[in-house]
Amino acid sequence: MTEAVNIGEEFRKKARELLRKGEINAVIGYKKSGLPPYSKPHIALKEDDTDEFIFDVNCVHNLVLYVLNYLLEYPEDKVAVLLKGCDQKSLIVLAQESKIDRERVKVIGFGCPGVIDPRKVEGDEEDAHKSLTAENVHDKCLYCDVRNTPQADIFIGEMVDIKPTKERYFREREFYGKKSESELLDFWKGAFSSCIRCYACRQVCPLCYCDICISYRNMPQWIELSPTTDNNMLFHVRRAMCMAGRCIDCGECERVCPVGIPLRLIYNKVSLEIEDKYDGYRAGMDSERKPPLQEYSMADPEDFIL
Amino acid sequence: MSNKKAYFISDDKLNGFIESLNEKVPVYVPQRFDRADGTGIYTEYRPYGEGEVDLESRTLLSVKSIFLPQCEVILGFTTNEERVDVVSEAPSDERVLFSIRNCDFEAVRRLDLLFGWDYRDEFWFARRENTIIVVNICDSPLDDKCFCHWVGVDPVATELADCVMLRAEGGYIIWRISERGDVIIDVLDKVGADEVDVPEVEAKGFDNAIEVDGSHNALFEIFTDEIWKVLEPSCIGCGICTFVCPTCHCFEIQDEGSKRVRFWDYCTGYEFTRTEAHQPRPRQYQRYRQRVMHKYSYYPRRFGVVGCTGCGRCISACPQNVDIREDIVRLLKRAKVIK
Repeated sequence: MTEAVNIGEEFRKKARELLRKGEINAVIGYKKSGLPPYSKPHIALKEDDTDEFIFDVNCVHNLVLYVLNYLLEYPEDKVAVLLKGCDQKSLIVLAQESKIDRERVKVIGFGCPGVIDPRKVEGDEEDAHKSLTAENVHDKCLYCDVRNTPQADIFIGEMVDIKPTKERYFREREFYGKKSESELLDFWKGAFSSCIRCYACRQVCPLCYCDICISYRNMPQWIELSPTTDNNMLFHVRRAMCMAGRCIDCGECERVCPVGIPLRLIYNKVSLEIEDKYDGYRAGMDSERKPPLQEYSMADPEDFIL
Repeated sequence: MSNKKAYFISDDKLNGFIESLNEKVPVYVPQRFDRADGTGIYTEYRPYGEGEVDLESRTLLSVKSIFLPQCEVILGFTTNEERVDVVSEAPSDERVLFSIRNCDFEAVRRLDLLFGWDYRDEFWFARRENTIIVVNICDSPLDDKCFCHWVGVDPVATELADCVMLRAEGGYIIWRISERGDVIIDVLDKVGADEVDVPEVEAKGFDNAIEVDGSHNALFEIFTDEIWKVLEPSCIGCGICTFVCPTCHCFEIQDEGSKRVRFWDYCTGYEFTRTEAHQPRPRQYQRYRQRVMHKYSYYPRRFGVVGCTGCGRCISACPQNVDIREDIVRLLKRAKVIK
């Protein structure tokens, strides 16, 4: 495995320069934290704030969430943001859905060697978080084909050239391939029984931006709020419907879940279905191609309608 | 104290002891559960027998869930052709809460003030009264996230418990404080635990405290300060910190079919204050401010005690590494309480 590229210094310089020129109101990146995963999002509003910026293999967070939240609060501002290739895909989806004005975002891209999956090294010493190994690398990095941030406005550091070593969504293919329907139902019932409905999966997702989530609507009440297994399953299945053709597999929902529900198994399965049914469509890969569930064509067969 | 004896129960006899106790009175005890994705474990207070007993790690949810369950039916009705019967019963069966830490116990006592304040919450107090409490005292912090000594909690307090237990080499020393603890001592006798002296306990390792008590008015003064806007921009507004917190007590009530259900709500979320007409806290910093101020300013202003007991769960569970201690230090500096 390759060591993380050292772009921290160059990013700090760039961030400082952008804020000094005044064309950018905020720069979003990562800073060091004393707790696992030893990094956390950081928003610099002044030049001096930029000294805290870092980048290393622990920078797992998808910063597009913070771009969205910042622009919702200050719609007239412009922000610059450090984005890994995978996270940048969610920016494309948000732009396609007219949720973010792409003109207001300056994407700072770089060549990403991959990040650590904090869940794989949970409870280990800080040393286990220092460099990428075959044990701690995030699954999504093994089949990543957007290592050098596409559509970056500014590119810093060197390009990396690392080929995917695994088939896309290998974990999901393997998981669903060898389980019967009743086994799957049992598995998910077990997983959802521990859900505490903290909605961290929804809150951390940059694509979950509804002001009032359907899970909180009570006239009519679609999903009951008490966290029983059935209600929890309804909430998660419903969210899977929302993510169809939109999820870009940043893995944040799975990372934040306090009881370890393997949520990527759901959303990646939905992505596989979309890829299969809609001519290989992958969310966030091509900003020109219309998302399948937002497009209407006269040639649609509609054979599923009675 | 009428009974000065203590008992030593070794680790290999612990399960047998809890099982015998459970046959007399249902026991709630921290147990390990595998996470669904197989990446590790979490511990939770559950009825004995559901998982593997683990008394030495910080539980994911606090004991709040034992007294104020995440969802509970507070009212229901049954109908037949002639009449409608309303059913609302607070639970009254006795149970034992085994191995609760002083931070959690203190939190429950601080919540007594709230639940008995303008209206006596019968569900809360029914559960309070039917629970025998065995406190597991901490002679040293569980880990670096403990900060009970910041907020006026004595980690080795024994007075208000029914029984007290202490980790000793190879097992636990348990002794009785109140009459209600007799049932535990009886079972200890029966399973053949050795008699020992009640130990002298001194808490060690609780250092570098920032005294939070007494700063509630100073914090109230900086409600409109600009610092809130930049204090914790990484907060995503989920409910983890409030759900794991032993003192966060906000709840919502909704009707689900023929039942009226009360369940936890969380002030860090958008939906908490939203009405059809108006959202008084539209921004995330305002919602985070509500959580911090409620604990460290409003609660002590009304009840005279800080609404936080320093269990450290919000710090260990936050997915975005929000450390409330760092924020409190910054706020107290801003309020000129500390330098």
